[in-house]
Amino acid sequence: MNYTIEFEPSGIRLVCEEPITIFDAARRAGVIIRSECGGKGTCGKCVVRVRNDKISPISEAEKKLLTADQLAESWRLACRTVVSGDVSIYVPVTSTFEGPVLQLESLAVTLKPVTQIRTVSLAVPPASLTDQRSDLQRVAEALQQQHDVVKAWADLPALSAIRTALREGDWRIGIALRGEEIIDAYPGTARSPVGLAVDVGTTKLACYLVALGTGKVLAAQGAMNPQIAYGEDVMSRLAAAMTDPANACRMQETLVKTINAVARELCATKKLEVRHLLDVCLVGNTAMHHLLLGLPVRPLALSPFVPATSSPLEVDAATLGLDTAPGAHAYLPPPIAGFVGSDHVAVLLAAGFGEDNRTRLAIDIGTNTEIALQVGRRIVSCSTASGPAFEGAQISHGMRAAPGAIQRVTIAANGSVQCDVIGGGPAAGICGSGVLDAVSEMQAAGIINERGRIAKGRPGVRLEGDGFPAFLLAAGSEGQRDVTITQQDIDQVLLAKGAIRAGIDILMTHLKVNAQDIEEINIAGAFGSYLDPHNAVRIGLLPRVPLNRIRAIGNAAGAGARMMLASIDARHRAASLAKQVEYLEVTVYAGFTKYLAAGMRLPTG
Amino acid sequence: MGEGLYQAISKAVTEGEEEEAVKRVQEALKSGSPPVEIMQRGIVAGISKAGELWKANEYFLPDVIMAADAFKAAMAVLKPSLKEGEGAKKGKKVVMGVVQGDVHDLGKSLVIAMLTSAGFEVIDLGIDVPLQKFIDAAREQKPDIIGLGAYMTTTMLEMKSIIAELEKQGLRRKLKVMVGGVPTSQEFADQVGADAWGKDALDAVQKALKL
Repeated sequence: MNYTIEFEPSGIRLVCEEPITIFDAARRAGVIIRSECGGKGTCGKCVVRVRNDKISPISEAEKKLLTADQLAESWRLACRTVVSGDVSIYVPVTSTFEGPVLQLESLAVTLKPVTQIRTVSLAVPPASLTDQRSDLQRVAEALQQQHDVVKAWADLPALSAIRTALREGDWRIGIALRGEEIIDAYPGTARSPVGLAVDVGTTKLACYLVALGTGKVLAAQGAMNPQIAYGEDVMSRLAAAMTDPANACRMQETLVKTINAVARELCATKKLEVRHLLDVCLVGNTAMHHLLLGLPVRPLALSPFVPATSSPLEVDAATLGLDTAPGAHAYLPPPIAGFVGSDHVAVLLAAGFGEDNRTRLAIDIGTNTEIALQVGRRIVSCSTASGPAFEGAQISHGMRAAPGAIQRVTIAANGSVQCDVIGGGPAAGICGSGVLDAVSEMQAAGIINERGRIAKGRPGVRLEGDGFPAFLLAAGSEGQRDVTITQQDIDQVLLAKGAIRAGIDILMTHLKVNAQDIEEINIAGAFGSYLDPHNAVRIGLLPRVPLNRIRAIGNAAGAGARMMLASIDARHRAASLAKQVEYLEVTVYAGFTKYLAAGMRLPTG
Repeated sequence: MGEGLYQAISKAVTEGEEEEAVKRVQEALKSGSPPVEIMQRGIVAGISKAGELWKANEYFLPDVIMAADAFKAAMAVLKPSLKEGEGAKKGKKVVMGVVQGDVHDLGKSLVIAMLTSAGFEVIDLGIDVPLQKFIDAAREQKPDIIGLGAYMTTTMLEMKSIIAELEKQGLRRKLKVMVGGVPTSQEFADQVGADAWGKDALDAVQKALKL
């Protein structure tokens, strides 16, 4: 017997036959419900409200992870609840990824926006019984006469476009060229050329509609990476592809579907269509790159983690499933190593690495953190598995940077805690920058020692159910739980910080650099824009440098993608940067565990 | 005089002072102290103390890492002087290794340190260990327990193959298999047919004692 599941507030419906967990139903329906454990009933994040008697009884996991109040008010865990009849499910904002603060603005970037793409208007002599030249020949000859294009040619998709355009436009058409190749034709006159730049993040996509010819951003929009349904992090997605090769295809398709959807929306804001996109540039970490291209990913998942290529790739956009002009290409800049992708190259390009001899550090903090150190003509990069603590994951009350998240914490001399919440309302949780502030302030206030151990008996410290101490940040109001930071949360932060700092320290030792030698530290990514540099130094995440040398550079990967879209010069620069960068595998560096141990401690004094 | 030296070794291991621990062990060997005593009263005492501090939540991971490093270095110096199987109080043998494709060393070092402190004899196959090497070790060493470690979601899949091969070779019934590593879980251990799951190094020891 069929039944219907309705998700609120999106209104998305799913018709089912068999009993199914709400979690799986959401995945099938395209409704995003957050999970850090992949639906195993251990993280407690997939909280939904269901009022119905045709659902499975409350499970042990739910008794453990939800409060009595929550259970009384019909809140359940999506992964532990099975439905088998018509039901309506409410997904609160804290259980989705809706409305996270996406990082789209970036450095002002100077470049010469010269590409091979241009558009021209063409008046073509009509075909007649006395002039039976083929469509392509007459267009090519017209292009030579009117625009000095020598031996223009077209591949099959553009050829169809030419044929239709000539007659619809009554022999007046606009032509898009990539060098001598005709990649689109349409009735009327030439339109300003536009293209699409995409930063394919593991969690968030950033898409930009760019005017080719000027490099100007016409519109920008972010979206969640739908591959999250297959795994929150890169390794889980690779594991999914290894378990079932069909998953790799599905991940590729769902990603491209989302990119196309965002591209459509971006174009619509400028009264354009995706058909008008003449060029695409996509950057991402190596796993994203390989999945997008359909390259075998197994060797990325196992030591020694080598990528298929370290050269740029230019393919027909249609091959990837992207909706664009008929002959448009997609340009994929090169990855550097298994865990350092073209997004890192894009960051370095946008930050101007390789342009001078300054001693500089660039860090892109995420679940994997890529770090580059430039000393003179040498640039050495590494990747560290920092984990998602700085993105608010695996923290008891952690959430992404969205309304309701504590983003700033200060502890006054009298011990009172001041929290700054995104959106200004009551605190529903805490995001990465808030977590960093909390640890720093707690150490300064003596609530934790240099090992990060919470001192029991201090005001604001209480014992949780498992006997471990926690510190109260914001008392719950309006039926929300208290927002606390637990001993385990602090451990997660120190582990994340330790991994990142170990990477930085190893690069510094390798290139014989001291903190005072570093002239600039660039931090890319949303977290970088929100973190407090003073606190970042105080907890030892960053080496001790004057604070005015620390600069957030926003979505530098996106900026780099835009640069490479709009400028051939930038593509060449990026390709040579990729060759110049030396990759260092930190986990096999001599004394790695000692760097890690040192990095995990909180500095004293 | 012996006692003071054992205490110095123990303290150096607990506090993660690798060079100091190595120096003292060499001193003790030179002065003729029995290697088994050096191991039990010096090195093992030191790592056990670190384990207790960890359990009491006074030590955090970096402290344990440093202690495990000191333990490893001190044992390396002592090993040539120990006869085979000497020093293992429980008489139980564990073969440990990180599965093929995975190069994370840290967790394994901690588990080995804790197992040794609890009296197990541990044979370390290293990291990135091919399936066949586990099978050969099971056959040749005849361990009581095989411990498999994987630290990535992609490599833990290998554990299923290893257990299946042990079954195929008629070796599975003769030993117990324990699995561990960040992405693993009790559910995963049940799925792959392991006998036990170690949540962390301390838990691994508790589970191993019960096997």
